Amino acid sequence: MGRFVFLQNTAEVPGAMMQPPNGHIIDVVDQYVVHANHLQDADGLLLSQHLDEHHLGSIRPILQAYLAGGGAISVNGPVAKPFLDGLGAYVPLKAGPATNWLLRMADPHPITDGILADDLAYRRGVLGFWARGGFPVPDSASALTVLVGGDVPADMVWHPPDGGRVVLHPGNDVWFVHKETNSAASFFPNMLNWMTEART
Amino acid sequence: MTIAAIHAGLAYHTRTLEEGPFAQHFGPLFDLRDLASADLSDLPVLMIPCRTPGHRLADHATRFQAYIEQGGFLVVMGETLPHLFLSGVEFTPEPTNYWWWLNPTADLGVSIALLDHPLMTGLSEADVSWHVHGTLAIPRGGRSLIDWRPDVETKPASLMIEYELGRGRVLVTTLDPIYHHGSGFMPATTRFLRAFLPALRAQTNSMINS
Repeated sequence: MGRFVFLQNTAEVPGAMMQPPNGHIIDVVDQYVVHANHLQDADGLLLSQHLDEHHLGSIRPILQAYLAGGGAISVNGPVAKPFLDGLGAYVPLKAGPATNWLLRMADPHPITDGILADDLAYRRGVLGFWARGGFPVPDSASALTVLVGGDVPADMVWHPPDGGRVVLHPGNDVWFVHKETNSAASFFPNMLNWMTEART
Repeated sequence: MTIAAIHAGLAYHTRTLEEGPFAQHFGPLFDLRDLASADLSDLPVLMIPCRTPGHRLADHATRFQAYIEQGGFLVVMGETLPHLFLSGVEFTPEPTNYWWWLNPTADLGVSIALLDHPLMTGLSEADVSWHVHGTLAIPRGGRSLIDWRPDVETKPASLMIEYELGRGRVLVTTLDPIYHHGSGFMPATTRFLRAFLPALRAQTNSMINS
């Protein structure tokens, strides 16, 4: 069981944060008041696609110190203004057929254990819900999923040189699909489990 | 004259307001966290882009009201909870049907209510049809520019209203094109912005000159 901090910037808190899986605890903290003390005992920090990236840039020293102390961060969304050392801005795939958004799973990893690529890539038969591009691959990062068109990583786990772990997801927040009836719903609980184990 | 806008630091704000083909239409941009010290008084038009957190704008309600009454033009885009920061706006959230278009013969029921309105002339019904997130009551003396009628038995409700207040004007919509365009999906939203933003600039210029 791990303890997480979810930074809130929207008026409402996502349902997945109110009912965390596997006995995990998620503390909701207003983005604009978050402080290093909030992260002191956190196994992981959950960063949504709906956060103020100007503000995240202003607290970069707090985020870097948290990672250096062994923390884990989940980064979601097509980030436009990177807020971590070594993280680049999201790059969409070049225009092409929708089949470019098909995914394949990379090497086995606890976060993607039991998850089928098509369960991520399709929703109700529509392709392209999980990712339509990716981040420049940081040093010490490895792919969890790969976009077939362009053969570029979509989800990645990254071990920054100064410490800590980062899970990069270049699409809608991974908890968006926590109630799906297929294996896509496992990504969020698997990720929380892995972030907890990484800390301990 | 470009469109002044609040920038909430959201990735899709950056992608639309600062990057790509629509950046040319915007400026100056005000960081949401600096809004309290921003001088809005001389701005002919001010946009609050899609998904700017409405609960963070509530503290500025009095300033928005003064800005409008003194001759400003406030344009409020979708998913911003406008009732939290605009006195008199009645917003009713609507459970969103994200999948209506999977049926090729389906009609979302969105239509342009004022076809000859200067902000609407470049838009087709397809350009305003993606999601319905909520509806707006039409204030006294105001008008609906875009209607939504889920079925023939239901009275139309508005997805975009316009009204005058003091010496100024307000446009509020529940459509959220900046979020979708800036996130890289939903082509209708890019088409919407391609027509709407130049029209908004042109109308702002005609208001200045009148």
